[in-house]
Amino acid sequence: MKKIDVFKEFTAEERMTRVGGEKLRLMILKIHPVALEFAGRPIASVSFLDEGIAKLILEGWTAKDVEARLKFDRIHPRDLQIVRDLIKERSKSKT
Amino acid sequence: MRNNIITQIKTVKIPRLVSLKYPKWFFKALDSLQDGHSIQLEFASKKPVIDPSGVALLELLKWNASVRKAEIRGWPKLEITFPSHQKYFSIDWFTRSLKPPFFERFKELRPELGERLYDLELLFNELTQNALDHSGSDRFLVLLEPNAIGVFDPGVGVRAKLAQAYSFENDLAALESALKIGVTTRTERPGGFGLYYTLDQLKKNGGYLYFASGRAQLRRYLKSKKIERKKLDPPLRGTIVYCCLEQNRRNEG
Repeated sequence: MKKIDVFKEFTAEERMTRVGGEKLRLMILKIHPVALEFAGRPIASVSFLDEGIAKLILEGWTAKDVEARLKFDRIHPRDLQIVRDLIKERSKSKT
Repeated sequence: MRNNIITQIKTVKIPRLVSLKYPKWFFKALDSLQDGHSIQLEFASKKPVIDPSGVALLELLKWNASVRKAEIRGWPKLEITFPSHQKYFSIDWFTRSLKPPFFERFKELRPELGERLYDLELLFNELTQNALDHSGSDRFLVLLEPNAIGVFDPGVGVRAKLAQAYSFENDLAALESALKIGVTTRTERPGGFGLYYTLDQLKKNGGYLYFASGRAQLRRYLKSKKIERKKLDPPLRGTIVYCCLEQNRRNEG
């Protein structure tokens, strides 16, 4: 499985913006399935996590696709909770 | 007309507790500066109690005066007395091109805050990003406390920004809408989750939110679900968002 190291591939500024999130989403769409490495450090940005991961739902992915195609390595538990919440919200808004 | 050549000076009375809890003096002072007047500060006490949000308001006032080349008289050599529960805070100006490594520094200084740091970082990221993306201002002030964060921008204000996509009867309606899920003005990378999640975060912590812009101010106490909606006169040019993670009796005073 390919890997994206979020803390190496993205600057601190990118990790809190939608622009950075969009870059992550485009990378995922190119190379999935992929393991996202978070190194146990917090992202703590709704903008980045929404644009980077939850918006995959708007690209036609389902919540199950996200689980099957992405691996969240050492993600901060609070970030994971936000990702799950956002995926729910994005799935709702799609229907 | 003599008044045209003599700088007019308006007196602004400052309460003993200098804080966002009682911000009326600040809006008056700001309004006077924006009208081109210099101001005379008249403190109710020789030893005012200035909480961190009060320090931020004074800093904003100083900056506004320098921009407008106005004078602030009566600037005291303050003997600042902080409430005992807030012994430490950080305050800094952000500009579009320069973001100081503000939060990183704060984290290093306050590792004992533990899980609370995540809450603060989430709020910090959302609120600074909002100010950068939506205020239209070159700079904004950020205040970080162990249990609170405030972002103060002198930008276009909430209603004017949301008017790109929505129409509101008044500033209060705009403030309330900005906190709802899915409200966004972006056409590229639309979001609308940031402020909603900020509020959600405060709900989980039983926190408190102060939100002011234009002619409206809103205080929401997430534990008691009490909401105070008030008109702002004079109005605020720009936006203030102040989030406190734990509600306490003092906030509701």
